[in-house]
This record gives sequence, structure tokens and C-alpha cells, in this order.
Amino acid sequence: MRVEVLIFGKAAVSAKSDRVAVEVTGKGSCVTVRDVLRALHEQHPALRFALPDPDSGRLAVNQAFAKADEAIEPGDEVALVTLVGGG
Amino acid sequence: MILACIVQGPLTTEAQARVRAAHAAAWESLTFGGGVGAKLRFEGIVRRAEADAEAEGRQRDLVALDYQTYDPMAERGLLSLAGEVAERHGLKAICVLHSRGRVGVGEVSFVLEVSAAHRGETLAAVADFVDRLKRDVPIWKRAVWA
Repeated sequence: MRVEVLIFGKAAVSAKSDRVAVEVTGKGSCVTVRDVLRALHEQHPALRFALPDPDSGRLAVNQAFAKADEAIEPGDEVALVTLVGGG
Repeated sequence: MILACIVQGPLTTEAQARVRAAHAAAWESLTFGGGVGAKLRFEGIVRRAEADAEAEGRQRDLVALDYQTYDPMAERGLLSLAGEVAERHGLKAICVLHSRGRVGVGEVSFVLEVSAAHRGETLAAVADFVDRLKRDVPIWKRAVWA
């Protein structure tokens, strides 16, 4: 499954884009946050400085934090929301 | 009462007044109601110098910070965090504003006001909120170097 991941902050500056795409293979037809994070590590090594560990990290899925085992469906809005630094 | 808003640009006196006017009940709840014994206001202000990670952490002058928010998750995150902090510290009210976009040096980008029965709860709540804001609310800042 092809998953587009929204990126922000220094990750977006580094990629010169507000999103990156990954090809993800999960178990059967099920793709999880862990699978997407692993694919990001493998397919976008330049973004590793901003990527959390696939087993303990999180992504935002449909505007809510999702942990490693949570599923991602086709059409979901997926975003990398690590390295937050507001305030 | 809980209020959380993301505001475009710096949190000038005028910008804050507009939010107060639109959400008067929330701001008034910081003071009124009889149970309030302490109110604390925290402002985040853009500093002139920041460490530049791309220059081995050296301090560099900047002209502004550019805040990027992931909307609407960012405002929902502020609201959710405000609710959690209010409950944990027994606050009477909490109002939080955060800028989106460019905020110049010396300008306010973040306002947090909390009230409670006693000062201890307000002091702990502000420290707790600011720590968790940086971890849990999708807002990024980019330095605009001088």
C-alpha cells in the first residue's frame, strides 16, 4: 500500500516538501503505524533525525495520535508529529 | 472553564482583546465564582538569540520565529491538554492562546492563564502545561535568522 505522510518543521525543510510517500507492506492486508515508521526509516533515511523508533513511536492518523500497533487504512490522513517544539 | 485558541500572528494586546471579547465568559471565569484564591499568567516571548543546531549549537540572533501548526489537531491538542492539566491540578479555569505564523523578537507567542483556590496549584499547573505542550501538541517553530 502507498501511504503519503505529512511532515512539518525541520523534517519538511529537509525534504523540501510538506509530505513524503512510502510503499508499505504489512501482515496480510493490514498496515500499522509500525509498518509505516519502518518504511520511512528505510525509504527516507535523510529524515531519520526526525523519525521515532518504529516500536515505541507514534504518528497522527486522522488528526489523532496513534501507537505502533494501530492500523492505517487506505485514505487515512497520516502525519509525522514528532520533535514538537511550541511555546 | 477551559479555553484554547490558536491565533494568527503575534499575541498583541489587540489580538488578546479580540479573543477575550469573543470568549468573555471563559476569561471572566479565571477570576469570578468565589472559589478563586490565585490567578497566574505566563507569557512566552520570542528571544533575540537561539541556539542554531546547524551551527553546532552556537547562539545566533534572529528576527522572528515562524510557528507552524497542524490544524485542527493543534487546537484540539491544546484544549485536551488544558482539560487534563485542569483536572490534575484542580484548577478553577484555564485559558491558553498560541500563535500561528510569524512572531517577531520581543513579541508574545504564547499566553497561559490559570486560576485555582491556592497559588500552589497554579504554579504547578503552568510548569506541567508548558512541559507537555512541547511534547504533545503539534506546533513547530522555525527560526528566521537575522
